[in-house]
Amino acid sequence: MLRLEDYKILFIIASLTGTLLFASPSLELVIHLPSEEAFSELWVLGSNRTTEDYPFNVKTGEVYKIFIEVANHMGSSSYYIIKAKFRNQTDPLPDSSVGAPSSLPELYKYYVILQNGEEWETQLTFSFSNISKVENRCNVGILKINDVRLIIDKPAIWNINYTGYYYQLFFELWIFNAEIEDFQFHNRFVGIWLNVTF
Amino acid sequence: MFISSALCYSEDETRVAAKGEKKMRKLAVLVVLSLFLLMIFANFCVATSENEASSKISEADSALKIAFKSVWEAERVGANVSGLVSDLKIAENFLAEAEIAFANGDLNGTISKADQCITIANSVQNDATILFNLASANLWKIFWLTLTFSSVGAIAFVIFLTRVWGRFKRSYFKKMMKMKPEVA
Repeated sequence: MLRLEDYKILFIIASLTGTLLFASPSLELVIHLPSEEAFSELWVLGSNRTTEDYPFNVKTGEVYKIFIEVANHMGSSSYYIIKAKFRNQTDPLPDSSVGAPSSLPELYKYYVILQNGEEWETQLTFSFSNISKVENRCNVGILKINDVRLIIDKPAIWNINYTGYYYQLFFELWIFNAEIEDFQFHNRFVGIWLNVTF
Repeated sequence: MFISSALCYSEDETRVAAKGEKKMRKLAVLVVLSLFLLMIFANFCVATSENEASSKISEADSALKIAFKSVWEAERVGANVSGLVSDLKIAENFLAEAEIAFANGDLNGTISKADQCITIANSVQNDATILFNLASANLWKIFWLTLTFSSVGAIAFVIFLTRVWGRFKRSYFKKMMKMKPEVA
């Protein structure tokens, strides 16, 4: 048979456990346990919505098609901006290590508002015109994204290693920070390489 | 006499011609000046409406940001914001269309689309504020209900266990008293 002291300890443990059980709904309101990791996704697909048929060799007058997609897993509704930028091989890319966007100007913008768990997709068409070549230097005069004609005048030097005039059309994901009431670079970007041909 | 009158006539003719030339010159200057003023005015009008369109886009952008913030805050206190997010998506489309119209030089289209965005965004913001207040009040109600349930439940449980402990102790002592001493 157990001693009275042992029974006392058992009763104390039972009362503490019971009290904690009754208090748990209130504790849940006050103590916030770490939730799932919050993140956003940004990706680009080719004209057939696959990762294989991205436009690569581009020339003047042709219209190319890609799909841009975003998914929100931030745990709440999010307001995004996708900024399209165009660079040659020497222009700066966003710096992921410090979370800084590329200093290049945005050419086109998409506004996207998504609830948690939602995905968004859009089709983007682009074409080039006024492409010129002088010796080992190529210049893209006009880039048309969807229905917006943009004068870019972007030069590129002939790449000896990869034999081509390389440009990159890339997209940065920006997110609205309600605390500061402004958009911030979300440290995510994707892009496709383009080789300008004649 | 004839000669002098003829001379007089030619002198008059020259004077009339000179006067006509002067008038024409004045008219030409007036026309050029009017055209110049018209050009300045037209430029001013274009510049003004371009500025107006640009500031309308900024206004729509701010309205959408404020509306989104209100929706986000309402969502944080547990409100169902699905309907409001759908409306925000419509407003966001209008803003995008306004920007495209501006890029293509369609200033009237820009102003019209931006105005539509502002109207929807303001309406969403008002609805979100109402929803936030309702959800906050509801959240407090839930908080106090939970707190009451926890406190009353915990206290009742402790009182119950204390009573059980008392009874148990008594029966334990009774049992002890009834036990016969055994000598090993």
